[in-house]
Amino acid sequence: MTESSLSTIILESLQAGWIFLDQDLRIVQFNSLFQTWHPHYQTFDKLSVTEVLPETVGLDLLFKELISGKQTAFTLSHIEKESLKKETGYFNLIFLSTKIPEKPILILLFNDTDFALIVQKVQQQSYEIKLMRSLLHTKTAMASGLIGSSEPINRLRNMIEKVASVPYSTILIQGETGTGKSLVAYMIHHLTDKRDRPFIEFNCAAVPETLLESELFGYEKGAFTHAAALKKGLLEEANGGTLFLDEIGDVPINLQSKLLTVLESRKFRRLGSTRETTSKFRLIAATNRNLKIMLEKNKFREDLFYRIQVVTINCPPLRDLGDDLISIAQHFIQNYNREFGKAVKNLTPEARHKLKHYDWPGNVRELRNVIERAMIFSEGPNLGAEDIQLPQKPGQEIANGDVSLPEKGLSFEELEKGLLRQALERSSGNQSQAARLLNMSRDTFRYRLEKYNMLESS
Amino acid sequence: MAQIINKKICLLGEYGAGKTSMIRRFVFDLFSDDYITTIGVKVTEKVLPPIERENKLQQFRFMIWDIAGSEEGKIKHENYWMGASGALIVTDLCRPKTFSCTSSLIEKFLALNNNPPIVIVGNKTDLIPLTELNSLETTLQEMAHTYRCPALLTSAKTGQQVEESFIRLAQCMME
Ligand SMILES: Nc1nc2c(ncn2[C@@H]2O[C@H](COP(=O)(O)OP(=O)(O)OP(=O)(O)O)[C@@H](O)[C@H]2O)c(=O)[nH]1
Ligand SMILES: [Mg+2]
Repeated sequence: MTESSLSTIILESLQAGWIFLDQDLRIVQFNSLFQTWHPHYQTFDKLSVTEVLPETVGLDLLFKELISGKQTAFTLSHIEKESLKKETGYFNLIFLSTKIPEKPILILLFNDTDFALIVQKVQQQSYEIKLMRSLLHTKTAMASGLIGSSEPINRLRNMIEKVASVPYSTILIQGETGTGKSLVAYMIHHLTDKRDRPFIEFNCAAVPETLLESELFGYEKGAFTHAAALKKGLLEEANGGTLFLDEIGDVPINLQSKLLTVLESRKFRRLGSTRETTSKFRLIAATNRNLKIMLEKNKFREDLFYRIQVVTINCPPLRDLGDDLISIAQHFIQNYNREFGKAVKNLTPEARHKLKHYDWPGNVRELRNVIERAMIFSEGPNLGAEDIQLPQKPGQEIANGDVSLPEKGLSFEELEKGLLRQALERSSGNQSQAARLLNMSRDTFRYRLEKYNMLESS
Repeated sequence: MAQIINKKICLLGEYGAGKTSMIRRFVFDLFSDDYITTIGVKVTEKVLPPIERENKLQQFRFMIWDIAGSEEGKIKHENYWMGASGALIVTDLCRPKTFSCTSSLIEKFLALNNNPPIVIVGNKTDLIPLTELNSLETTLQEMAHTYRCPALLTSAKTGQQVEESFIRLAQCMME
């Protein structure tokens, strides 16, 4: 067997497409696989390599060195090509010096698609998350974090930019549930120069009153029975940054005066401590209640009210945003496309109509849930009216207590438990909100939870 | 008619800066909000309009190398840069960190290819509020000054200055 036929056998066993080039970089020999991968050519004989492989344009110096033997091998991996069957494929190109005068260069082409697609998937996940996360942290993306161009949104955007430039002023954000008060607080934080400082978010309605104080102020080891170790409070954690207290209306009146003192003096004591701690932060408070009415009922301290409402920002309800509602819905569609790996393009005109003629008591949060549900069940390229499931108008199910008792009767206790559970679910565990849904005070609500041993699980 | 000259150019920059989007806009006049990260490289051809310089017409066919983005300046495949006649350095205006990350890329690229021309672009202008744009542009111009190259603000989404960036690079290549 001659040396050249041996190398041909070896070459053929590689499952590679290959070509040999002469000194003028013209193709002088090729195999059938190379031909299969380049179906637009009848033949390659004497074609310039740059014509067939545009990836080799500019590589003159490399070729020179391969011919002279100064370089022996050179690799280009993961080259994406749309060659065969219009599908994306990846190839590895290997350039070798053969030292054979009439065909000094061998180029091997390996199909690398399977491996490359795995690499792509892994890389995709990591970069996509990083890109989104870093976008969330930039000033610019934060300013565009509010979608839309309606009058109320523009006013809100302006307001945010203005207040962000005053570093420590206290801000009160008012708005119905689900209007994005927390996003607004986050934007203000990120637009100030405190971006790299802590942003501490806390929902005052989410913990029982008894725990609220220790959450805010922290405690020393042994301050009370369960205080096994020192714990810094949120006031301390927020030092140098922003403390965002959602549902400020739920802070009990005795704690309100303590909070006021901290805001005025910037000093406080951990529970069980005699030493004063200093903490400087911007307080952003939010509420979906009417604090003025609470003032009148002596449920909210006047001095604290005036202290926190130096600047008031109103988050507009979704029903006032006109066409922005559709833009926001489209934004959620894009997000869920990414999350669920779907390719929903848009909303049908009927779906738009349906969205625009509902009054959205739960605002953007409710819209997001509705779109999420629609995306899970939708099958077509667009979301139609039938995909959009809206609740019936509240009160439509039960008009003024007009529930008819089933013939066989019912367990009143079970009914009550069921309603408590549903109210909690609908308000994501927020007891004050849940209580309001059932038109009762938070205390009454908690009393009933306790009665059914549901406090733990709530 | 002038002869068309083949030239290899590279797009370099951090992942997600918009390299693939710039090329899609320039070559196919398309844009998508979806992000599909490039691994390895994809070469796309585009013939530029003829460019006149000192009474001479020249026309380039760009072999545009869309190269996988770097991560915090870390380069994966220097081999892709071999033989490039120029590069578009793409930064992301939403992530000013991508400016500094590309400095090391630029230096290595210039050294490997005997100082070919480059053009720096700050991409995604459409996402930047007008109030922010000035200071970002200043930073970018300072960077361009260091490397004595032009800097442009682009948006692959709206198409703003995308074609101009490639043409500027071609012009620099004629000098
Ligand atoms: N708004 C806006 N988005 C853009 C622009 N350019 C790119 N994008 C988006 O930014 C993301 C990343 O864009 P790509 O073009 O894939 O970025 P790349 O530089 O090729 O990224 P790698 O391949 O990972 O290095 C995509 O979601 C694009 O839609 C722009 O000018 N404006
Ligand atoms: Mg890319």
